[in-house]
Amino acid sequence: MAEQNLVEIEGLKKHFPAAHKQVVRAVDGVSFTIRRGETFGLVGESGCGKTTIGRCLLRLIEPTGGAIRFAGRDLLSVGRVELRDLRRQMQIIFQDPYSSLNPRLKVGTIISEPLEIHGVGDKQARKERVAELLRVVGLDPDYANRYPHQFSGGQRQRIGIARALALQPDFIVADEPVSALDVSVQAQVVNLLQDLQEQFGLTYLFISHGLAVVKHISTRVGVMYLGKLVELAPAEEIYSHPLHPYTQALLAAIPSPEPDLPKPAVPRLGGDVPNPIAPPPGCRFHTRCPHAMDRCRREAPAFSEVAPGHFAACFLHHSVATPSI
Amino acid sequence: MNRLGKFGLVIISIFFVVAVCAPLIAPYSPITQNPLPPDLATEERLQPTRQHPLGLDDLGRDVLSRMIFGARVSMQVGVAVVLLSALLGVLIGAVSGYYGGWIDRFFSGFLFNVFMSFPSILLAIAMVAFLGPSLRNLILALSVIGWVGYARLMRAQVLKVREYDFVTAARALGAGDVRILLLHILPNAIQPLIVQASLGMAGAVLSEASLSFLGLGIQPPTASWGVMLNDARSFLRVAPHLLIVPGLAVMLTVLAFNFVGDGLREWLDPKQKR
Repeated sequence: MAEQNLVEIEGLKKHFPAAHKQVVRAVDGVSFTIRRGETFGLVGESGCGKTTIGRCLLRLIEPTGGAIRFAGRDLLSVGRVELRDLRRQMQIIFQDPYSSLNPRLKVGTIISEPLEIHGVGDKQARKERVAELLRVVGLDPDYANRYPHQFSGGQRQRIGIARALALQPDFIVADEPVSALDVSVQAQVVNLLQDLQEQFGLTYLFISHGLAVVKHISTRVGVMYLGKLVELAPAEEIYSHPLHPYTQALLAAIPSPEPDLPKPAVPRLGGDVPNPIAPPPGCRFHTRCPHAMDRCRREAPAFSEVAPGHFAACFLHHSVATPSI
Repeated sequence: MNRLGKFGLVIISIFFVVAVCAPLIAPYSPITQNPLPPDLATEERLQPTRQHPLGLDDLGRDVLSRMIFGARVSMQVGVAVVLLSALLGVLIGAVSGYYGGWIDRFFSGFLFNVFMSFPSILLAIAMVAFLGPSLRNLILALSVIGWVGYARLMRAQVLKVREYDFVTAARALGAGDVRILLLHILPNAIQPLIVQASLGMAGAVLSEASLSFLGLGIQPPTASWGVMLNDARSFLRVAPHLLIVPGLAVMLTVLAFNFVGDGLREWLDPKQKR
């Protein structure tokens, strides 16, 4: 079983210091695993901690607590040299195609930088590799001599993907890779990511703020709310049988291509996400939950398996209390 | 580079060549005194003549030659002060902004403020008075008061640039701090510093003039535009050209450096490249 898991996250916590000695609990005890070759979709609204998890996974942010294992190795205890080595196996794609490419470097230099850092090949070999990578992401190899500002958002995102692929990683954190793109371009980039996954046997953590995008690409989906996972299930399952009221609300919020069809009767969410400096006691969602009970205000529901492979943190679905994953 | 930038570059190049080749170009020595004709009134004695196209100063020295040798001092001071203070400022500012934490608190919270709290010219006066007046000490003093401006600007720029995703990307690729600073942060942070440097060049030329006036800079009989400006003040009414000529030279230098700064900024930005 452990062999099957490429990434294992246990009780991950990241607290950022805020003014007046308070802390923002951006991620507050999250556990899940990512299986080799799958796409794990991580969904939640702005500020729920999904990006923080992605950055912690690559040790771009040092977590406050918890454990992360990558390919069986404890990621949080490795030293500098070992970490550098591990970085060849995990990469990141960013949301903003404009700030993710250094405007002063030519595209060829940007893509060959990872090769240079890790001393892969000589100059000629790197040049050839850059051309190959550009072809792989569907761009003209001649683009290597141009500057990033000469490209559109979708093309820039492809350049960022080529850079992430340069070292042939096993695992890629895609941090909202299509959120900043036009809808028509979104599909192209998602398709490209899927093709690359097949071609290179990649494993993705696909972070998104909406369930709609994740639907097409994910194997399993985790839904986050205010620094915690509230539901985790195989993709089909989460779309057909969402259990947590928050997931149900997120699904209901997806605009329908046929607005005349009747929608499932899910009450719309009111209010805003509570302040992560002082999250509400009990279940963190109770302030906005249409089904909130007395118990929800006092106790935090455990994240437990309510159906095979389907986890949720909600008292509505607590038949048997099973310890989490 | 744009047209004004090229113009500035030409002016600076001319002044630079003049400064380097001063002994070859200057018609007279800048410090030998010619006997002033005793039968003429002061205002007539100082007027330009065929032998001395810009006239003589009150001590009978050839103004054109002094202007040519003065360019040496101005160029030297301008270039040296800016290089020294910008180098120091960029280094400290970059380290302070990039590493943050106690390093930043020490530099930007303490050191910057200590230096900023002194009136800069007073600090320079104190330093030169302590070290003894000379060109070298003048450059040193002006650099010591000048670096804070570059450091503050650099720190602010680094704070901004280090948050860009491409810096995070470089870190995710395993790039070291030196590589990130030199390849990713510096080229994207340096632009306003180039403009600052061109203004600083101008400021250094002016400061040299002030300190020389106070007797703490260039020592007589050496010529510098600042010294000449101040020597000529008493003859403003009778021989205004003594004031106008070095004044114009300072102005032209300052303007040229500003044009070049502007031109460079545009030229360095790949988005502006055709």
